[in-house]
Amino acid sequence: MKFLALILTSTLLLPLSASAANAPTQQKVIREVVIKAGPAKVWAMVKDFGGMHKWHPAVESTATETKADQDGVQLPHRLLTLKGGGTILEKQTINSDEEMKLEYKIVEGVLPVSGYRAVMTVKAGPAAGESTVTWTGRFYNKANDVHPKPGEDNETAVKAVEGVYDAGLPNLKKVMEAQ
Amino acid sequence: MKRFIPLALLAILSEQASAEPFAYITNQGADTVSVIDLATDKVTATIATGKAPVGVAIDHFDSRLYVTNVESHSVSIIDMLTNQPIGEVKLDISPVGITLSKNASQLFVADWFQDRVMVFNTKDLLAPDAGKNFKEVSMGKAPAGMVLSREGASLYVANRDSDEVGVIEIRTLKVINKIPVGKHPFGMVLGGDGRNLFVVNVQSNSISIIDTHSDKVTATIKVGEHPYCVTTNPDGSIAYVTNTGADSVSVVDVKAKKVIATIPTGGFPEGISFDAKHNRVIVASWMDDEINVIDAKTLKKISSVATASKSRAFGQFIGNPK
Repeated sequence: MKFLALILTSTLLLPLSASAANAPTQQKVIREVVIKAGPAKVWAMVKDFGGMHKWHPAVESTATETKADQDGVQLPHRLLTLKGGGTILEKQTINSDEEMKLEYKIVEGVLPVSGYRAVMTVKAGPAAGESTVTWTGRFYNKANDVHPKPGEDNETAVKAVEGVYDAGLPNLKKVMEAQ
Repeated sequence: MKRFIPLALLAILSEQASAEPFAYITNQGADTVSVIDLATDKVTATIATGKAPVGVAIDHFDSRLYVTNVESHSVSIIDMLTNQPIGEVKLDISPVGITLSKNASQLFVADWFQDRVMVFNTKDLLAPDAGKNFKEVSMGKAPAGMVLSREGASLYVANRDSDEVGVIEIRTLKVINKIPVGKHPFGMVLGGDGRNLFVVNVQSNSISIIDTHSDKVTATIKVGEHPYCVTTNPDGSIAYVTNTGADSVSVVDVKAKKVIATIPTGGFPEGISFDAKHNRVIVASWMDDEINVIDAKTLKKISSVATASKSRAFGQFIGNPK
């Protein structure tokens, strides 16, 4: 959490948006957690695009609005206000009850990444009454240059996203298992 | 004696024709190429490359494999007979797309950030400062996939951020055409019949088919979410498109201009090639670090082979070392 806060606050002054020529090497982060609660119940929490503050400890509040994205497609957007300041604007691209799959993309925000796309899925867990939640992110570093500057390189981007996932999933488990 | 030599040649030729195909899968996160014997579906070698290998091109004349290393800004040269790296050409760019001229005398490397195609003589590539010795052509933003015309006279370049395919006359290195396509063209392939060029439009969730006789788009076909790469069967009647956003392959009937099947794959399927010898489609899964094998007859995924971190295999990656 401390690390996440550091990453988020250290990049506060550098809002960014998806730039044209993303670096050619995508990065990925995959995290998984097993929760002692049924998939339907866990999915109800995960699919709530406007409810991230209910389970992610770094999110202070979530404001939602459906509006046109840069291609003119009407999509649900959420503005995450982080504890300690800073915001991230995200748009929801898939929310499938059938597959129990949520996909969203960052429009702009304080994470040192670009072209960020995340998928959260809920599946039946290893034992009855359990669920496995998988959070995967695919993104580029912030620099979009042949020689990325320190703070805009792959390592910084991966650490920031790992920080978000590693803070979020254990708390999602805690919140769900307390219900 | 007179008959002996042609017979010996014939024997060599038929041996070449029956050489088993191998898949050469770049693993962006492991800095390696996995070599997979497509007769047994086993990884038979793992070859070290530069950092973050992505693109592949195969020289069947000299049995060489060329790999673009995005993060070490270089091209690895690998001997396919020994599966050993024999050279690394240092550049000052982030190379992605890569392909060869018809007789493999020239190597084309797309420079993502400086919006140009670099042209190297392959015979000079093992020289110490080979990376400084090139010609260049500029014609669009963020050049990505590249494909040679069937007769080898033209090079087609997907200029991702210009939403068009540029056509370079190889003899003169002049830009002779610019063909508007969908948003963010990326992977491309020349159909098996050599006539149609298939271009994936990443942000339009579609493919464009370009008739290479007229250099005009003759069809635009919707596929799955965030498509990336494309290949076809040997006669070019069926195209296969990886959908990175939907974890699937769209199967396109080229004549009917429609998707006839959608096959679930591993996560973020990227590179795709056709294994003609076994009538299968091979797909690299970036998220699951594996290749998926699809039976082209039943259109079912029949097996997976583990590779290494972040398999990309951008380009036509199946070759017959001999």
